[in-house]
Order: sequence, then C-alpha cells, then structure tokens
Amino acid sequence: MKHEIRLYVNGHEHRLEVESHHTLLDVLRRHLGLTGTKHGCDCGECGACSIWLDDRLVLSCLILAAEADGAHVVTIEGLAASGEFSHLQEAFIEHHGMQCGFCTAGFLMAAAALLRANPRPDTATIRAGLAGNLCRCTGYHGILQAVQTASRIRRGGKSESSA
Amino acid sequence: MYAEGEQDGNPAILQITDEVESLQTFDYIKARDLPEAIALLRTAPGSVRPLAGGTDLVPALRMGQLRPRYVVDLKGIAALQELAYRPDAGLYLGAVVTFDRLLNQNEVRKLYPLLVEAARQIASPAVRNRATVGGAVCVAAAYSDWLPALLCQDAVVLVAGASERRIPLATFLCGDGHTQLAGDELLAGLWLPTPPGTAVGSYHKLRLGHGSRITLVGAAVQAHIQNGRLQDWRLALTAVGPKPFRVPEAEALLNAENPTAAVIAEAAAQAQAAAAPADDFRASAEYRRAMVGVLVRRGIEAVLARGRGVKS
Amino acid sequence: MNPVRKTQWLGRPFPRVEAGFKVAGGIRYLDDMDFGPDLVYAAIVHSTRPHARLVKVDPAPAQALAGVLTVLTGRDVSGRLGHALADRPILAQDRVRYVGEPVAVVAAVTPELAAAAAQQVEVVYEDLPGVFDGEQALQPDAPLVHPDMDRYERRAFVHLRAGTNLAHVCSNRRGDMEVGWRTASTIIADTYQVAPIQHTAMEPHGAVAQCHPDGTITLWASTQAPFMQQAVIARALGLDPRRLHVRAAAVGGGFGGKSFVSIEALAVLLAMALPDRPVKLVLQRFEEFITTFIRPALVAHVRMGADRQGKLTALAAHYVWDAGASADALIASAWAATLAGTGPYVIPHVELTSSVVYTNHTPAAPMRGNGMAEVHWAIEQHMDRMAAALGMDPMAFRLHNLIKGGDLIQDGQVMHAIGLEQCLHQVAQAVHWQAGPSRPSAPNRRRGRGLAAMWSPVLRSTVIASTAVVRLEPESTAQDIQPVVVEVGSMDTGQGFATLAVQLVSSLLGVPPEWVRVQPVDTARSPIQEPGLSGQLTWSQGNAIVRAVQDLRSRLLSTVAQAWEEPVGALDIVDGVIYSHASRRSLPLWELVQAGVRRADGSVLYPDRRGEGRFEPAAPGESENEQVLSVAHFSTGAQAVEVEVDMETGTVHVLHIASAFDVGHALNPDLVVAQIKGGAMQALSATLCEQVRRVEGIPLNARLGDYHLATILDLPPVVEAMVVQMPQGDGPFGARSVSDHAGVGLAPAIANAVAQATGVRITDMPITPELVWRALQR
Repeated sequence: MKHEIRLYVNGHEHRLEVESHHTLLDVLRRHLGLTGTKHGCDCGECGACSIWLDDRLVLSCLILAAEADGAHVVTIEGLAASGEFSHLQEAFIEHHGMQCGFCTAGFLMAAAALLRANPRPDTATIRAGLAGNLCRCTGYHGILQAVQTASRIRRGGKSESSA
Repeated sequence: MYAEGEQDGNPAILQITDEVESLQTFDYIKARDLPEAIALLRTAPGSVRPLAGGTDLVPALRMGQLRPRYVVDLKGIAALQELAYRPDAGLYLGAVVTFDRLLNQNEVRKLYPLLVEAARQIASPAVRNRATVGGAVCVAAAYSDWLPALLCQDAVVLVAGASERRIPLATFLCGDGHTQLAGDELLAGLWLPTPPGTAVGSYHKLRLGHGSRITLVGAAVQAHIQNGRLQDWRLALTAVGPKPFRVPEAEALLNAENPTAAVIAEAAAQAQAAAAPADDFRASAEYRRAMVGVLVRRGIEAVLARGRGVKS
Repeated sequence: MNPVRKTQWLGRPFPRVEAGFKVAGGIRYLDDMDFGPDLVYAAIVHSTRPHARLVKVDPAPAQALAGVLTVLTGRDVSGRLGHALADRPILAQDRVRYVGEPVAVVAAVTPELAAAAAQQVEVVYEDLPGVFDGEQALQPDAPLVHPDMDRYERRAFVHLRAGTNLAHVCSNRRGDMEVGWRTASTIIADTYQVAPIQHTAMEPHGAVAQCHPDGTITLWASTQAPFMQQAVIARALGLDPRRLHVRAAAVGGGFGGKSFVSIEALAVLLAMALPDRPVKLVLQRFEEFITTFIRPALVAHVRMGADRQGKLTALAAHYVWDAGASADALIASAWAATLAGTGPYVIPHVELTSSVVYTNHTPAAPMRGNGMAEVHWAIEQHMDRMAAALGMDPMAFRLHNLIKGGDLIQDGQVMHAIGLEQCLHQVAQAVHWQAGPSRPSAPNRRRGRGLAAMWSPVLRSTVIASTAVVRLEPESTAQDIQPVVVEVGSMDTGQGFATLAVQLVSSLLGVPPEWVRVQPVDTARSPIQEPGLSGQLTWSQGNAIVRAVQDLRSRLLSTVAQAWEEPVGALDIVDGVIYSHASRRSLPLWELVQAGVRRADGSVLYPDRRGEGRFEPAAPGESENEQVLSVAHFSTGAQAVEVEVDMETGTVHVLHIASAFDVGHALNPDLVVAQIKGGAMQALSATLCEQVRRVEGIPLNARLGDYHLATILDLPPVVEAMVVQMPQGDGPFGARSVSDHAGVGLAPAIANAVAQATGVRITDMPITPELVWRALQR
C-alpha cells in the first residue's frame, strides 16, 4: 500500500510516496541518499541508525516511514551542516572517539541529544545516554572522553568530575 | 522506481513505491480514534496488528516473524495518549504513553519510584523515546523489566472492544507473549491506584553484561510508609516463569512481622519456592532460582534503607 | 640513496586523516555507494539443517515471482572457496554442513522482494547425523563432515587426514619430554575452553558485483583482503583472475572476519548470470552470526612442569580448534599456536600440537590476534597455577622464566630484543600489584588483581612481501586534490593505517601532509598484497612505503642535481620546495613535476614521478622445521586488571585495565594508544559477555540483543595504555604493529584476578556470572 507523506529532513521539505513496509531508515538512505545514517542490525539493538525525530533521539530502523508523516528529521548530515555540535565533532576527532567510523554517526546523534538535554552531564549520565550504541573498535573510552570534553567546551573550559 | 522531487517550495512527490506488487506485505493504517481502530481489527480478525512504539513490532515485521494483513497505528488516538494523575483515583497511563514521557512526569517521579527505577532500565534512551507502556504489556515478555513494577502497583488493564473490560494485570498476562486480549480488542490504558502511603521501591536485575537487553532474573519490591513504618509490601519477579508474577506468600510474611534478617531470608525463600524458572542457554534454572533469593533479599534491604531515608 | 632526515610528522600525535568525514557522515561504505537505477538486490537461501543431504532445491516458486531476476542453486556452480584449503562450496552441492550455509541465492529488483523470494525456494533435506564438538569430531565413530576432503585443492603445508574430521594437524617438538617431566618437581595438567564468538564488525559483510560487456567483472567489497578475494573467487569460479577486478570500499570494521572470502563470490556469481547489472548482497545481522565466520571454539589440554627453583622444564599442549564446516581460515592460527603456544617463556622440553577439526558449525576464522587470545587464555592461567603450587608470586614466577632478547626460542632462531619485561613491570605498577587487596565497595564483594604476559608471532607465511608505490600526479596543482598518491594493497579497516601512511610520506618526502592521499585498494591498479594482513600494516606496508618514498625522493633529487650540476647530497626537500644547501637555489616541487628543471644550457630535464618500494621479511635462518622459518618476529606485551566480584551473584566488575605493549617505535602515539584501549575492551567483551550459543548445530542467539557485546556501561572506570619502545630491527623507524594483538593478555588477566579475589579458577571463557557462582558453590 502506498502512502503520500511529508517529511522535513535537515530543514528541507520532501513529499514522498512510500510503501507501508518501508522504514524511515530505508527512506533516508535508499531514497533521499542520506547514507550517513547506518544500517547495522535492523532490530534496534546497535544504535547505528540513530537520528532525531521531532527533536527526540530515535532508531530509524524501528519506525515505519508512514508513521513519520509530517515529522521533522535531523540526520548526521544535518547535524554536521548546522555547526551546532562542531565542538562535539572536534572532540571525537581529538580523543579518537572513532576508528572504523561505522558507529560514529549514531554516537554523535545520541551524544548531541544528551548534551542538548543536559549540557553538564556527569559520567554516569553520559554512559546511560550512550548505552544503546555499540562500538566494536574504540572500546568507548575515547567516546566518553570526547563527550566530557565537549561538555566542558560548552561551559567555557571548566573541568568536570573524572571518569 | 523513483523520480527526484524538488527541495524547495512545494515539492514534487518523490515516488519510492515498489513496481512489483507480488510482494506479500502489510498495509499501514493510521487510526483516528478508538472506534475506527476497533472496527479495523474486526475487518480481518487475527490478521491485524496494532502498532504503538513499534520497537518490537517493526523488527518482527521486517524479519517475517509476523505477517499481518494490516498494521494499525494507534499513536494518533488522543484517548490513548492520556497521562493523568488524580489523588483520589490514581495514575492513568494511556496505552501509547512512551517510557520517556512517563519518566518525565512529575507525579510519577514523586509517587511511583519503582516504576521510574524499572523504566529507566528498559533498553536504551532511543528505544524509551518510542516504546510505550501499553506496548510492553501487550508484548508480555517473560523477562520484562516493566511488568514486575506494574504488578507491584496492582495495575488494572483497560481493554477496549465490543465492550470495555477491566482486568487486573496479573490476570491479563497469560504467559510469554500471551495475554487475554482478543483479536478484536485493544489495550486502551493502565490504571494504577494511588499508593496506600508514600511508596518506596527497588528493582534489582541480573544480566550477562551491564548493557545487555535480556534480564536473567529480576525482582521488584515496593512498600509504603504508613504511620511511620513500611507496610503493604509487594514483591514481583521476572524471568523466572512464563510470566512475571507477584509472590503473596513473601508479601504476607513481610506484612506480618518486622522484617528482621530472618524474616527477609524467609521471604526470599518463599520467592524462590514460587519461582518456576526455565533452563535455557542464558542461564540454568538452578542459578536463576538461587539468584531470586539474592535479589529479593537485596530488594527488601534496599527498600528498608530507602524507607529510613524517606522518614528522616 | 640520500639519508632521510625529515621525520617531523613521526613519533608524535597526528589526527586521523579521514576523521573529518567520519564525524560528518561523509564516508561511503559499501552499502552507501550509488550504483544507479539498474542495481539488483540479492538474498541468500540458508540451510536450516546442520547436516543433511539435499534431496531437492527447487527455485521455481521464487523464480515465478514478478521482479525476481534469477535464482541460482548448487546446480549452477560447483566451485569451492579456500586460500590454503578449498573446502567451502560457493553454494551447497549434495549436502549442507551447517545452519546458515548458502543453498541458493536470489536476485530481485528490491531487497524486500529478494528476501521474500528467498523464502519461496523449496528445499527438501534428509538429515544426517551431525558432529558439534571438536573433540567428539576426533572420535573414530564420528560422522564425517567432509568425506571427500582428500580431493580438495590445497597447499603443501596443509596436513589433513582423509577419512577423519581432521582438516589440519601440525606439531612443534623440541628437547626431550621425558627429561622435562623427570626434572620437574611440580607438574600440573588441566583443560581450558574458549567459547566461539563472532567478530561483529558494526558494518555487516557486503559485496556488489557487475559483469561488464567486455566480460570483465568488477567486485566492490567490504574486505580486509582484496587481493585474496580476487585470487580465491577467480579460482573457485574458474575465471582468469585478470577478468575479476576487486575494488575495496571503506571498511566498517573487520577484526579478521573480513580477511577471507565469505559471501562475495555469490554476488559475482549472480553478476555473471545478469550481465551489465550491478548486484548487491549486504548481509542482515543474523546472517553475520550464521553464514560468515566466527572465532573458533578452542579446547586446550595443557600439562606443565617446573623444577624446585621455579624454572619451567616441560610443556605439552594440545590445541583443538573447532573449525566448523571450513578449516581454510584456521591453518595459520593452528601454526601460530604451535610456534607461540608456550607463552613468552623459556621452556627446554616442549611438545605443541594443533588440530583443526571439522564440525557442523558455521565456518571459523581467526579474530584479532590469530588465535593468540585463545592460547594465552590457557597458558597464562596455567602460569598462575604453577606459581601458586611453587609458592611463588605470579609476577616473580613469570619474570623468572620470561624470554629475553638473545634467548634461543626455536632451533636456529634467537629472540630479538623485546621490551616484554618493561611491559610487565609497567602494568604491575599501574594496578599496584604489590599492594594488598583493596577494600571492596560492598560487604558481599571481593577484589583481586591479575596479570598476564603475551607474545604473538608474525608469520612469514602471511607476509610474503609488501609493495608500495608513491607517485606524483602532474595534472594536479592545487593542494586540495592531494597530488602525492600512495598505493598499497591493504586496507585501512579503521586502525589508522592511512594516517600513518600520510605521516610517513609527508615526513620522508618533505611535503605538507595535506598533499598526500592513500588510494583505496583496486586490484587492477594497486600493488599486490596477498594475503591480507590488516594486523601487520605498520611493519610490513610501512616498510614498503618508506622504501617507495626513498625511491621517489632519490629520483626527484638526482634529476635536479643533474640539472644544477650539484651533488645530490646538497639537496633537500622542505615543505614541498627543493632546496640546495650548496647553492641556496630552490625550486618548488610542483614546478619540477610540471615544467621540469632547466639546465645551464637551457634544456629541460623531467624527473621520474613514481617511486616503488618492496619489503620482504628476511628469513630467520636455516632449519629442518618448516614452521620455524615462518616467524618473522614476535610482538610482546602485558596486561593487568583489578576486578571486584559479587560473591553472591558471580558478577565480575572490572575496575581497572592496564595494558602495555612493546610497539618498537610509536610512530603515532595517539593511534597506538587508541588501538591498545580498543583492543582491551574488545577482549573484555569476549571475556565476560560474548558467546555464540547453539545446540546440536542450531543457533540460539543470532542477534545482537541476545549475544551481548560490551557497551559503554561495561567500560571500567580506569583504562590505561602504556607504550614500550624497543626498536624492531627491520621495522620502519623501528616500529612494529600493535592492533592485532592488543587484547591477547586481557582474558587470562581477568581470570587470574577473579581467582585471586574469590579463590576459584574459571577455566572456561566467557566468565559468566553463573560460572563464577557455580565455582563458588563447590
């Protein structure tokens, strides 16, 4: 069954005709060419497809495209273009919060959502906020450091409690 | 297969529908109100799946584990979105209230600490932003983190269908993945009576890794401060039987006596006796039963410690 | 050749070159690439039986669906895949040997349709008795997984036993065992087990193939070993390898799971059936668990003896590897286990045997460390037990027996200089080894510390030779198109090799790093590298790059020297400008490349713009023993941990990880530290959480949610990485690689710490809470 939907992706409006079984992830990647959001498990268990839907962190593999009619979506491409979290991106580079990079977009979307809700997260809050994202390369240490650094930069260089 | 649309102004429609119609798949329908949703359920009994958060349903559809003809989205139904607390009546949770919304509700945070502790341990933040309090009840997982906390509230399930039914949660749950919901019925909401006193709760669970999704054993404990002491103890277990369940024998012991170490040990033993754990690849029945004893004791001790904190 | 002096980008932190793209979602992995509207999607029909005769495979019901372009079965192809031993059919022939084995493959116009059509292929099985345990498979009455194995194409170093399930057996003996046991005062024997795990790269396996009108085929793949893909697939399909052209996409993690051919041949097969249409096969997560590769289960029988002075006298060990239905990928691991199966200790009398055994499980492939993590699980726990029996401190016992530079390790081979002892001291100090037990956080908890030493042999058989090309593109002018091009035959799978290549080339050539780019591997253009060696890139490819840059630099400068009539030694390249110390003349490098250099007589000379370098590890000496000749060098290190164990539930909390590795020379200290920390956490996950569960060959937990990878919640509060630098004689600037073995010592260190904390010894990995609890009940 076809559905005509309207999506606002990274600030651009799209009118789309989708099938019932298409997920939001399918539409973003296959049809809008936004391949920064990754396909890791299709079960909501790896976090690689994390995006923001109406300003909330969600897993795009768990949402049918038809469900998202009228919604505002932000993907890693939009996050990067906005520049709002460039300090977080830079911290990921500085602390080697990535190796192969496949999980990186998902981590950035989750970390940015976390920092927006709580600009001064303690270590436990950061861990809880990133608990749904899997990384096989970095061992998470650099990722944790990157988010800690980003939260400090935002507050003007004050140091936070250690890991 | 698709034509590129415009990005600005009034965009053209980007058609990404399949050329091929032979693919057996479902139709997604967004219900506007409860009667429409129920009418849809009746059009094709047994081959309609209600959709709430989708965190369980969508992967099952993708993997071909479920092959319904229709998927009916309930999220747009205003009546199911209600989240309200009334001191005289208690907490009403509409079926499609998300865990994240629940966790951010003031009265819930104040009055239902066990719900909060359990909900915080469900899956991941991104999943909690979608997964719903009603969906988790309908999924009825034997290892659910959510159901034991709800059981400790004496929750009642509101079922909408040909007629409205009110079923105690403990009765509503039939076993792993099974409930009393008929094919033409919907779970409309959950009603949680006002706690009989300030509730103090704790939820302890055991997993293979700290981030693991599968609970090996879980124990929820709640008691209520009345007349300066903890009373009306409630205890529920998960992952040690076909469905999460309360342990009235242990509750009776705790209610009858001052919970000394000996009483706690006896309550834990009662809980172990009530558990009917399975042997599976995740853990043996023997280990699960032993852990029921440990977690129940820790849960009771935590409630006692927290209860002292509340009083002081 | 000029002395190379410019090393300003080496030995110091240097940001990952592709990091900016990665944080913007801009890296295109295989599934992200655009292959146009003709793209066709493939799906695999998997065996649902662990061992069965195929009675019928009927593609007709799937073929009948509109939008299905083709369905291929074992009738359409008969080739077998394998690098050392061709034992894996591209599609099952008369029988299936594991659940998940490809029985047929479908191509359709959408991925959903391909998956749905795959369900429609009718497969009828007649079950055969299966074998699901490595040791049972060695019993004389065990069902045979490959009754015809002696007919399989294989290399001379594969020693199989036809008529059994033994696909490969190799041994390493030295000394006289009888003397070894006789001189021992303490002998301990036990068996250790390691559960199978999955590599679980976050990017699933994927391949796209297209057959062009001229008959050539391009295969784009997520692979650690593009040249091996080319050779193995071409051989299995009976193609001239020159017809098959493999292009490596960005790789989203591999860890060994992408070092061999897994499903890529299926895409090629479909492409040949559907000329001129690109065919994409990207696996779903559950297929990663059942169809590609898993790290093998290991059973290790260890018997060790030491004399009254605490010196090791003898070791007999038998390592039994559960290869699943294909042993090809384990041949090198089995060898490594016989070469390094002693652990890094001097033991005069040794008998080590590796048996690679067929079972009805998903094929196994080594994961990070080439079997060393599994071997050290046994040896490094056994060392603690020997120490306890001898009344010695585990650290002191190790130091007493530790191998050092100059010690004889094999007949005809002497250990090179290593920093292992420093590594041990550093990790011991980091976790306060000498201090008494620290106070647990709760009364029902106990704390303990544990450590382990490790070594890992770099096999010459896996590094035949490495070649690199560094060339200048004359048409490029602007620096933003990176005119200095590095071509190698190996892929950076995330460890940071491309960054290191940029550091090496810019430093040695004398150009800004922004000028340098590393070309993705393309078997039609890149220098050959077979097989893949993602764990040894710094050493092997690094050397080849150094030589290629030196070659290029020498060509450039000799041209200028000739034109200017100056000695080459007077010339240098600094920041992209050629400069003469003698005459103070200068010439921008790019002017030289594009316009040449003018001689005094007005004529113009143009330099060669291409340098090539080849590195072939030196043979370590003559020996009767074919395996001894295969060790190029050893990498060493140590890991220590502090744990806290919940004595009631058996849950192990790791509080502190300290790792130290001798990396020779840390050319990029930040990348080295990132590898060490990441390797440690990957090993923690394997030690405490992971296990591929199956019963009678039926997978039970083929999804991430039920498999349990460590998450950020499992990250210990303190994770330390330390670097020891004892230069590697034949390494680039003394460097050796670290990424492959960065987790090898962690599992036994944790087990030793659990033993210290609780008094119980866990011999089976993973250390689940239930295992600890059971041990505590006894």
